[in-house]
Amino acid sequence: MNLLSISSSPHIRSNITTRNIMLYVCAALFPSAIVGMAYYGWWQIGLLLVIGVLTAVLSEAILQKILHIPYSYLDGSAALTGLLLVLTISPMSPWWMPLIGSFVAILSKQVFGGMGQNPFNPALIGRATLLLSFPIESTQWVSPFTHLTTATPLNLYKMANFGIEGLNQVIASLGGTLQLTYRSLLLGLRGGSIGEICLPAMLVGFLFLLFTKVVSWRITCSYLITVIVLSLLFKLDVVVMLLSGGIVFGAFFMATDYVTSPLLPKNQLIFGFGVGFMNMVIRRFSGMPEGTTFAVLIMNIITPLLDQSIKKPVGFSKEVKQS
Amino acid sequence: MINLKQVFLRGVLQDNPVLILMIGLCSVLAVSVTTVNAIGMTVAYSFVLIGSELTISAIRNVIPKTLRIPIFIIAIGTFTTIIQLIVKAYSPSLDKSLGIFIPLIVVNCIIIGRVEAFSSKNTVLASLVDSLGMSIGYGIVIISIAFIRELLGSGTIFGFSVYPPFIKPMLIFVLPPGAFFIIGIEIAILSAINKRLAKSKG
Repeated sequence: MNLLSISSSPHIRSNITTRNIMLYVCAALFPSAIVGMAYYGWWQIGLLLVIGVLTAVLSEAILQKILHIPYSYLDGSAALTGLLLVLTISPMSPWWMPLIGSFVAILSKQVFGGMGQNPFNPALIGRATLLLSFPIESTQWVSPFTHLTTATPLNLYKMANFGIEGLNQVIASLGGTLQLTYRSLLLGLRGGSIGEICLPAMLVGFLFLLFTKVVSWRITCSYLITVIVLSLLFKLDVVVMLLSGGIVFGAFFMATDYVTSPLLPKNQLIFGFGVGFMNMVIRRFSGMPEGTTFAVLIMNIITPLLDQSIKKPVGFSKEVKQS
Repeated sequence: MINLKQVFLRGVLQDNPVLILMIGLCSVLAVSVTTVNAIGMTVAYSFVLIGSELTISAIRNVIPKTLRIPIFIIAIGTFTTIIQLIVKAYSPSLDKSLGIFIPLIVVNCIIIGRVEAFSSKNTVLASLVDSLGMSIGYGIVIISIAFIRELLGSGTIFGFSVYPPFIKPMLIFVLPPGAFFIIGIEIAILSAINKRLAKSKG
């Protein structure tokens, strides 16, 4: 008799579960985490990662108990949030920064009702809170291996405002010894957040996600193309713009978050354009050197509006206009 | 006959102006950076609210219906001017830190709302109780927000530093986002209290 039972949609089911997706994304972040540890010290970064992930899982469990949300703290989403958060903070962060950041990130997700309900990317909320709360600790940048204090290329760019030779002149005038070349930017031999520095490591992870169809290419591509076009328009060095901040990390792992980005392909292209546009506007015209965090958060607010353009059920054919 | 106890409690709990009606948020967000400012704001605000509710309820039978809003504004404006001059005269530093927000009490939605909705229809005694309840409801909220923001954001209580030097205060609570976080959390808490109260009443 069970054959005749009627259920409401969705009727098509697949084997992809939340836990699988989260595991894939964690795996995709693995190379960046390893590179970060190798560049900035195994113990220092390893400790930050462990604290961030553990705090995220623990606070998810506690908050779900307090707020009477069904337990899901072991499905990997909290661990992923913690991992993402730690990869976006400064390598010299003291141990309590991932603690506070992870807690705030999970809180920002749970107060809206938990997984799938949050309007903002949790990891970026955590990062933004840390950046606004502890501006000095959040912006202590060091160069890899030597651990000498340095400014990020974008900080320098704010002072120099011309290509890579200008950057090196500024470094020299500040008494630094690090020489930046396009090759060193590509390999991440510069100041920056833990996970955002090494392009090849991030690319491996992103290609893995693309290959397993966890993310779509649309947001990332329209984001990066917008950044390239706007850098040309603002007469900025395209390579420095792409490789010296969090744009690549944001485009690969942050803007593509399922919950906080639009559903329809067309809207994903608009979303990516919006993030790129806000990012470049913040970099070029505001007082801050980097704007990826805030660009993604701003576009997260607009995501529900974009999704509202779905007026009819997906998959139905267009109405034929009769004149 | 109106139940005076209920009128009073409504201002604090069920109809709390800031957390339930969510009006007058502008001054709450702007002034709640330090506890001292919040207390000063509460005093100024209560003076205007109590004064204008009493005045309007006393003359409610002679106010022509079509002219009531301008008359309300005149009454509220009078009391606002009085408190502004008093604060300017006796506490210039408070006047400086509260700034534009004392004159802006004139257009505070809570006061116009209470005068229009309550005291223009009720007796002087009921209006007094209502304005006291509303003032206390506003005061509790703004002072508790300011206390938490000051403690977490600058690490001080009434201007005295309380943190050991190795703990850094979180600057975000001094900035506007911090005020919104705390208002949101207090809204959640008050809603939970009200739900429980309604349940116990049946």
